[in-house]
Amino acid sequence: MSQNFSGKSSDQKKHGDLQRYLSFSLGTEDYAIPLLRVKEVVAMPEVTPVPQTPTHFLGIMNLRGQVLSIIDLRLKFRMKKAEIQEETAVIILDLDTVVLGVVVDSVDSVLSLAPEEISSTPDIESTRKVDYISGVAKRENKLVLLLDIAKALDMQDLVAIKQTARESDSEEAA
Amino acid sequence: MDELERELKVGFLEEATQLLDDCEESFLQLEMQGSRAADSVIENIFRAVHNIKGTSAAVGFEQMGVFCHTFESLLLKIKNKQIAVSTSIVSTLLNGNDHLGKMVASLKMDLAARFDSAEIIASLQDHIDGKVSAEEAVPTESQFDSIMAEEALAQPEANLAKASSPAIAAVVPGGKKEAIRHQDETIRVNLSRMEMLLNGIGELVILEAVLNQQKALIPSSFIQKTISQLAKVTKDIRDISMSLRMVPVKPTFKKMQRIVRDTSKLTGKEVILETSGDETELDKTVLEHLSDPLVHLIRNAVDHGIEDPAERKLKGKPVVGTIKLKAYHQGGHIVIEARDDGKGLDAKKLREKAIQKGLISESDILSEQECFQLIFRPGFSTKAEVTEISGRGVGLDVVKTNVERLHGEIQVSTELGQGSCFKMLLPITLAIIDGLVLKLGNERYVIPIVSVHETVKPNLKDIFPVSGMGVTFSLRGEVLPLYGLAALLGRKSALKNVDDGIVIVVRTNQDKPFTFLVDDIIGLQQVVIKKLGKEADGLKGIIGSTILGDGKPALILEISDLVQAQSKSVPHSTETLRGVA
Repeated sequence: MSQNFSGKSSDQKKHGDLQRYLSFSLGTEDYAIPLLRVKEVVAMPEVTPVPQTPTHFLGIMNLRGQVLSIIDLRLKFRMKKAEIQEETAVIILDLDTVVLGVVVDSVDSVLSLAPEEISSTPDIESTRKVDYISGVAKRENKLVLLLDIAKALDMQDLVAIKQTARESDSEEAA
Repeated sequence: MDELERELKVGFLEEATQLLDDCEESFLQLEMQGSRAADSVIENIFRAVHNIKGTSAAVGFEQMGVFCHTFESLLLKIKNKQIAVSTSIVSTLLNGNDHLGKMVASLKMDLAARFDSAEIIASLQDHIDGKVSAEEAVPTESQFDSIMAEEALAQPEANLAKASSPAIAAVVPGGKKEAIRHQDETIRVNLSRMEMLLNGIGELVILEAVLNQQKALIPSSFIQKTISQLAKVTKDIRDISMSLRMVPVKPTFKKMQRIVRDTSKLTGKEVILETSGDETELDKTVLEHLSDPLVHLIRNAVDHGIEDPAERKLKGKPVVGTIKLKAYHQGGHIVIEARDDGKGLDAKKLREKAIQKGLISESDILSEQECFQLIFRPGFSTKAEVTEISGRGVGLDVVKTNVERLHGEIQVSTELGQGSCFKMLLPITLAIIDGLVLKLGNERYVIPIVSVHETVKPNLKDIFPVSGMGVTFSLRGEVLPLYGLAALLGRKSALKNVDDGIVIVVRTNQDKPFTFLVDDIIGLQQVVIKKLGKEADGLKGIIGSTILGDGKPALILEISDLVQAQSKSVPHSTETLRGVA
C-alpha cells in the first residue's frame, strides 16, 4: 500500500502516471493523502468520548448509522489543539481493514502530481519520528507533505490505544 | 481451475453438507431401531449418498466418488434386504457417514484435498461381501427366502455396482427429484449482503427515532401524521429484518443426537435424547455460539448425570436414561433446557468437593442453591478423574462464561436421585438489546439490562467505608461494595452529593454482587448494537456502541469487566468514590 504514494515505484515512472491526492492543512502546514484512501469529507460532527484512550483519540461519531472512531491529526502530530471552526473537517478514510475519521483544520483541494514532482523526504534532524511522510511536493511556493496515512495512524495507533488503556490503569494504581 | 469449475465444486460441497445433515437423523433412527428401522430410513440415506456420488464425480472429486460408490453398494444391499441391519453394520455406516463428512469439510478448506479411504472402503467391502455380518445378524428363515428370491435380481445390480457410476445412476432413478423438494420457497442469500441490509435498516430505525423525537417542532399536522405512519412502517421493517437472521434450533439439536450416541457408547450407558421445540428460532450468531456449551451440557448429562445401567436397575429406574432437550419462548427470552433423569446433584457432596478444592472454606455457610452454583466455578469438576468425555480440564464454568457472553443466563435445578435440569436463558437476538441509558457528567452510557438487578435512590446513611472493603452500600441490611462509575471509567461526574445520584445493583451468577453509582438514569430503551472499529477494539469493559435517539453515539459497557479491571489495579478504596462525587 505504502509504495503507491512513495512516487518511486517503477510502474509510475514508466507511465508517468498522475497520482491524485487530497490536500488539507493542519496549523500552518499543508499535507496531502492519496485520494483513493478518502471515502468522504464531512463537517465536524458531535463526538462521544471513549474513556481510557489517548488524547488524540477524540471518540466515536455517527456517520449515517455507522459508528466510526475519530482521531485528531493535530493532536496526533503533537501540534497545538485548535478550536473547531467552520472550516474544520473530518476526512473519512478507508484503510482496508479500518474505516475511521481524522480531524483536519481545512480541506483544500485535489492535487494531481506526476512522480517527478515528488521529491523524497529531506533528511532533517528531528526529535519527531517522521517516517509517515512519504514525500514532498512543491506547489505554488508551498511545500506539501505527502502523508503515508496508514503508517501515521495505523499500527502504532492501535497499539497506542490499548497501551494507554493499560497505562491509565496502572497510573490509577500508583 | 477455472471459475466455473470452482463454482460447481463449492456449490456441490454446500449441497453435500445439506444432504449429510439431512440424513444424520436417519442414521440415528437406524441405530436406535436397528433392524426394525423403517425402509424409508435406509432409503433416505441411500438417496443422499447416491446424490453425492453422482455429483462428486461430475464436478471432479473422483476420490469421493469412488468412496460413495462402495458406500452406496452396501446401502443398496441393505435396501434390498440382502444384508440385515446389525450393530456392526450400523457402526460401519456411521463411520462411512463420518468419513464423508470429513471429506466434505476438508474439501471446503482445500478444493484439492486428497484422502486415504482404502481402509474404510475395505471394511465396507467386507460387509458387502458378507464377511462380517454372519455371526451378528442371523437372518430368519423368511429373510432367507427373500434373499433367495432376490438373489437373481440382485446379482446384476451388484455387478453394476462394481461397474461405472453412470450405470448405477440409471438403476436408481428419482433421487434428484426428491432433493429439489427442500428448496421450495426459500432463497439463499449471501450473509454479508444480509448484514448490509440489516445495517441499513438499523440506520433507518435511528433516523426515524430522531424524526419522531423532533416532530413536535413541525407545524404541519400532515407531516406529523406522516411521521407517525413512518414510525409504524419502520417498526414492521425492523421486526421483519430481525427475523431474517433467525434460524431454527433443529440442526443444532440434531447434532446433539449424535453427541448422546457417541458419549453413551463411550461410557457404556444407555441414553436416549428426546427433543422438542425444534422449530424454535434463534439468532444465527447466538445459535452458533450456543453449540459448544450445549455439547458440553449434554456430554455432562450423559457422563455425570445418567447412572450406569446396573445402578439404574437397582434404583428401580428404567435402564435407559432419558435426556430431554427442549427449546421454547419465555418472556422475551429463548430458553434451551436440558433435563436428565439421572442421579441429580448432591448439595452435600458438592460442598465437600468445593472445600477440598479450596474454592470455599469449611466455615462457609451455603444454601442448597448456592451449593449447586458451585459447579459453575472455575476449577470445579464433580468427577474425581478428568475423563475424555466431559473433562478436558474445562468445566461448566466455560459453559457459563459462553452463555453470559451472549447476554444469557444459565440456571440449574435438581432433585437428588431424580435428575437435574439446566436452563439456558438467551436473548432472541444479539443485534438489539434492552439497555439502560445512564448519565454521567454530560455523557451517556448504556448497560445491558440483564446485568441490572435493581436501582436504588441512595440514602447517605447507607453508604459507609468498611476497612478492607472500601466504600460499601447497605442494601436492606446486605453490605455490598459500591463503585463510582466515573472512577471506573476515569471520567468526571457532575454529582455534588452522593445521594443525588442513583445506585445500580448488579447481581449475576458469575460475580459477587456489587453496586455502582451513576449521576442519573435516562431511561430504558432497545438499542441496536454497533461494533467498534478495530482501532478501538479490546478496550476493557466496552462491548460496543449504539446510536441514541438524538443521533449521538454512546458506548455500551460491561460493568463487571470494569470492576474486575479496577479491583486488579486499585485496591478499592474510599478515594475512588470521593474522586467521583
